[in-house]
Amino acid sequence: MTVLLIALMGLGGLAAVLYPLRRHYEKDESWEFRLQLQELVATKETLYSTLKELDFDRVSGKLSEEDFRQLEARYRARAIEVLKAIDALKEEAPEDDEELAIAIEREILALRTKLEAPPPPSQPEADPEPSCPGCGCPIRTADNFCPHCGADLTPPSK
Amino acid sequence: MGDIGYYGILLAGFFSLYAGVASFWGGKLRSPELIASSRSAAYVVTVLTTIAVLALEYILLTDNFSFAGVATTSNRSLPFAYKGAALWGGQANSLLFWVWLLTIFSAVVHYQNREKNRPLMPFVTTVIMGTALFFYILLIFSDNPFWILSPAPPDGRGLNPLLQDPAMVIHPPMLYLGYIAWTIPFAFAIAALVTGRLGDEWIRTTRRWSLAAWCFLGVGNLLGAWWAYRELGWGGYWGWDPVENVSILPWITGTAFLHSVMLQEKKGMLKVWNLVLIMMTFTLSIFGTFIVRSGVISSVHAFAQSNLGFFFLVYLGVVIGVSLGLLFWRLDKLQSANTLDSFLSRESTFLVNNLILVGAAFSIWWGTVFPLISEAITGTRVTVGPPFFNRVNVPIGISLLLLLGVGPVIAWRKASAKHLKKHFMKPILIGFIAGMVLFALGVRHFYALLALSLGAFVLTTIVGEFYRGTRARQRTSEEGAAQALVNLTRKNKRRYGGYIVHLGIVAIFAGIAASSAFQVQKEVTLRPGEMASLGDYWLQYQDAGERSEARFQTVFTNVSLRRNGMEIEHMLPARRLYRNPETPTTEVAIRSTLKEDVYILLGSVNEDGSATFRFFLNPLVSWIWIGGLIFVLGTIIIVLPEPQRRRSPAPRVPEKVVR
Repeated sequence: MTVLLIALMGLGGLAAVLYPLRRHYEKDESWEFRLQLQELVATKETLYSTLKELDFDRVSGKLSEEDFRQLEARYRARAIEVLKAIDALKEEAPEDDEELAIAIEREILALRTKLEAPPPPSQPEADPEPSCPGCGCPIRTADNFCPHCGADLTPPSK
Repeated sequence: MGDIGYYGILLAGFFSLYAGVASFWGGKLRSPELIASSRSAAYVVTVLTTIAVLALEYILLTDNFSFAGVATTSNRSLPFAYKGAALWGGQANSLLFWVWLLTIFSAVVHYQNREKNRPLMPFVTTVIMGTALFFYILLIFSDNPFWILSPAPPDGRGLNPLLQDPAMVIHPPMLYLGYIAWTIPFAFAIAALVTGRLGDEWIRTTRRWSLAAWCFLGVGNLLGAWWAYRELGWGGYWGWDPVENVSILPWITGTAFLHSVMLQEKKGMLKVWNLVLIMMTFTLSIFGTFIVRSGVISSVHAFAQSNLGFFFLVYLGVVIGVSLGLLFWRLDKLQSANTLDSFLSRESTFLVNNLILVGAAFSIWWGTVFPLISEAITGTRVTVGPPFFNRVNVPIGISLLLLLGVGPVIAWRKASAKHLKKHFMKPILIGFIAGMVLFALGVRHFYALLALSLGAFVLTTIVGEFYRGTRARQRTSEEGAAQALVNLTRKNKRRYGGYIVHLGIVAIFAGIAASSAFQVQKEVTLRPGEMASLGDYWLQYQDAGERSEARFQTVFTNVSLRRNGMEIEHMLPARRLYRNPETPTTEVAIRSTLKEDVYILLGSVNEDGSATFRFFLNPLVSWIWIGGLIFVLGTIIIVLPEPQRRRSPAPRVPEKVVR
């Protein structure tokens, strides 16, 4: 009985290992492209989360408006590079792989929509010490006019 | 049943060899047939090893002492649960347990990546199966639980009574899970080097594996400390013993790795360093198993008593040689894509954190191996004890605590000096006030004062981070404070889960600082009815008694713990004499509160009826265990899957079978 079980273990294992060798796998012309797309999508996701974090750091007051604009522009430029790379992939990928073509189109559309969205509005309330745009003197958020130079501080009506 | 286990190991060894070689050639030749066959072989290895483990469990639970794995770790009188847990007791059993966990992980990784990471997976299979093969070689040629003893002993040697403790049942598996799970990120790193796909693909794929390994190792170490505290009876929980040191080493380098990979993911920096860190962490995991299993701890000469140490040393050499060779080969492809945006950024605090952690790991490693080296060279063993480790690691720990507070407040990429000043003022003030209050209360121990003040500083920065994040979220959404806090953590689990882990570490540091600096201990001999003071407490020895049980004989004492004239707890410190194997143990009585632990150790009950005790008052020890729970909670938050994010699924790369 024990011998039978041991033989079953060995032969079962052998069958499982040999079976894939007898199958024939189709040569997949486009798998390199899919891998490239996978990598580009991953880079895009990292850039998205970086941009999200930058915005959050600005809203929570860790990053100044100026630094935010500068860094945001840098990371947006990288996102454009990714978009270009995906575009280039579209040109090179085999034409008969419909699934890949759809995936590429979807990514291009998503990135374009994201990049064409207007940058988040600046947040003066994040600054703890608001200042008069006219003379630069400190003012209170509630002030309608600057107490130093008299400039009109009311936000322009939309 | 034993035969089935034995041949299970032999066959698993054979199939792991095939899987490793076939997957390597499959990857090189890009042959889907060979790759699929090697993947099947990896699953077969898991099944065969599971059969061997079930066979071992069966002979353990049925007391079959004719097998070495049962006779050396169990006996008839051992409770059922400990018989089952003998699977990871003793050398041979634990080797089988180690490789079994690895093969389970291997099956999970192969299943997870059946349609992903196609270029990397063949080489991942090679590394995992290579590691497994090493353990099968040990089991086949060095120590095997299914080796038959002739004549079979009537009863087993039993489990060391000190190890018969619930914490000891879960502590080794936790450590093993941690050690072994590091194999997965290591395998992906090697595959990245072999294939030249050196982006952050391997890091992203193994992020959860690294976190799981790190969490299991952390919990394993804490459980070990908890066991030492309750069972070893010396009033402490960490003695810088070599076994402890080697289990904390991969955790420290793993901590550095988890931080520095963020720099690669965000900025494409530190590619070489991250590879070095994962190699170090994996090598240290194997080194830990080597130190504990080869017997070199007790003496270098014990190394020669079995060939196990030799196998380990060869394997370590191969791992280090191949890893470094691949790294040098790919060095030109590993240039950083970026530089630091600013010195005042979280990136730079991560760099400092890495340097400090690796410094700590090196000092602990050196302190652990130095006695072995000195014994091997000069023949005399030099003892490196707690004073060395404390002198080096206390300042290192304090610097890390400082970074725990500074890091979260500094923004990624670029922090502005103005905002830094604003966000640091309150935490610094609170840390300073905490220090002043402690000083006024009479705390004069420099490092403890510093650690506790820094603890208050870090706590304030982390609470401040949650507060500011919640406020920012409330400004941009219409959520209430509680909802905003929950959503804040949910939407950025990595950041806020990380902060929760940091809170746990602060609690652990506070517990360690207070209990090391302010421990009160005294040794007294009392007659029945007499009392001794300990801090605010009085301890009254009432009487002693004896009790006989199947496995051991107990001598116990009744001690009344009093405060302000009232009894607050009745405590029973005792000593036990186990019959098989004949071993005396102390059964410590502990009254634990958030403020302090009263810890009573019975030395002896004397002939005149008096008893000798050692009393300890250990402040804030509970916070070490609470910190451990917070640490686990934070890690769980980090590894939780993303909430229904509207992201396009990554394109799949399945294999297509024609016929």
